[in-house]
Amino acid sequence: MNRDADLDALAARLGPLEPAPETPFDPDRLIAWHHGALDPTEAAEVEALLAADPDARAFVADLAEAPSPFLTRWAESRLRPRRRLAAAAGVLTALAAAALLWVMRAPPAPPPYDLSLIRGAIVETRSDAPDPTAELYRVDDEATLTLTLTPTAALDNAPLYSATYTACAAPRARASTQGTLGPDGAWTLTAPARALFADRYGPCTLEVALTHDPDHLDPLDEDAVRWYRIPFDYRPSDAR
Amino acid sequence: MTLTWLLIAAHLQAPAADLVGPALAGDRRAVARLVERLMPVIRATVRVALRKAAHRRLGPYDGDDLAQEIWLLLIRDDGKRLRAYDPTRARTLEGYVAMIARTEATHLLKREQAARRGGGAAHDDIDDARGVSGGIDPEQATLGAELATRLRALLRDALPERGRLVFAHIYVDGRTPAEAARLMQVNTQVVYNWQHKIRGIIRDQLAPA
Repeated sequence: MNRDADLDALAARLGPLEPAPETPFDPDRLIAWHHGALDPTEAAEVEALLAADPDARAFVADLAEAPSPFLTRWAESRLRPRRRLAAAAGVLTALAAAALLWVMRAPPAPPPYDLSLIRGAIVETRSDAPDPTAELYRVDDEATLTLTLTPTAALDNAPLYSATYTACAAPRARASTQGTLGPDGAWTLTAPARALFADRYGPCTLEVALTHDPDHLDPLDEDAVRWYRIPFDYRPSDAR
Repeated sequence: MTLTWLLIAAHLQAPAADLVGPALAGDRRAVARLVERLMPVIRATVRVALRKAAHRRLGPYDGDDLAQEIWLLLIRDDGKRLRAYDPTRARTLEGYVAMIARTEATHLLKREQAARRGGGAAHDDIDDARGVSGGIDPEQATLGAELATRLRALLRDALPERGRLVFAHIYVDGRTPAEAARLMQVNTQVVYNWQHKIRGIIRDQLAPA
């Protein structure tokens, strides 16, 4: 009975050296002991308790074990929903604001228009223009212009509005004769050149604003407006 | 630079109670730190209660469900229970949480047992047998009762607290010296030294006069 293994086997058969305490242990002190936060006297008292109390030993043993990653993540997630909810509320608010802005936004501009008909003017290509291929329409003051603009794509069912402006070496001004819109969205104008440009000879532009929102028919408005610009070289009639 | 490290160290060592507010406000770092500090305490407390109620050896995940219930209880109502921590009643928030966990775990287990009463199967294993027989197993019965009593008294008187704790870890709970050393936060050699002393006491007692 002198071998270590035999002595250990005998010791293991002895069972606890002292009865377990009747009163439950104080977890506060055990936790402090576990964290090494007790002075030597208190630590010795706790060790005496641990030696006698199997529950206290089991508690400390479990305290030293890290909980499963699942339990840890789960516990963290229970505290974070508030934040996630707040974030979700923020996102919802932003979405609501975006939706409101979407509703209140300016309607989209009509599709681009093409000049499908022009009568009363002669087409010129300006070699001095920034874009040499740009067409310039020479028109004299006795001509009557007939213009038709047609949409290049299908229009919305929303009502369409137009305004006609002229710009001849001066800011855009509302033309005295306005074009009209047909049911297919085509814009037409028939008017004497003089009615449009008066005696402001030289480069003039006829500018047509097309929009679904009449509030955007301001001459300076660019939002939700499809502008079509037709450049003219407005001259006095040779006949004069 | 030094100041920065001091601030970081101070933050890492911050009492768990200081983490409650930021964690409940959703600060991710505080949440992680609070869970790291409290969940082992809750789990350990729950497992003590469960071990008593079940009279059996626990698996690694036993008690996790109870720990979850208690965590939910603690953080319910914007962490009312956690915020109610009073340093005059418990040294640390961890200790306070352990006391709540013990009360609640006992309560939950009693309720569970009451619900099962009448249809539950009893656990019959060696640990049950040991519990029913008052801690005396058949092997122990073969050891001379008089010798056992004498050896226990000798060891109890000869060993200081730390030696008795080593005895309990190794010879009562069946832990290895390395496990005992880890739990006692000492070098394994310290445990070996105590084990050597314990063996010496027994050997001397068994030696012919």
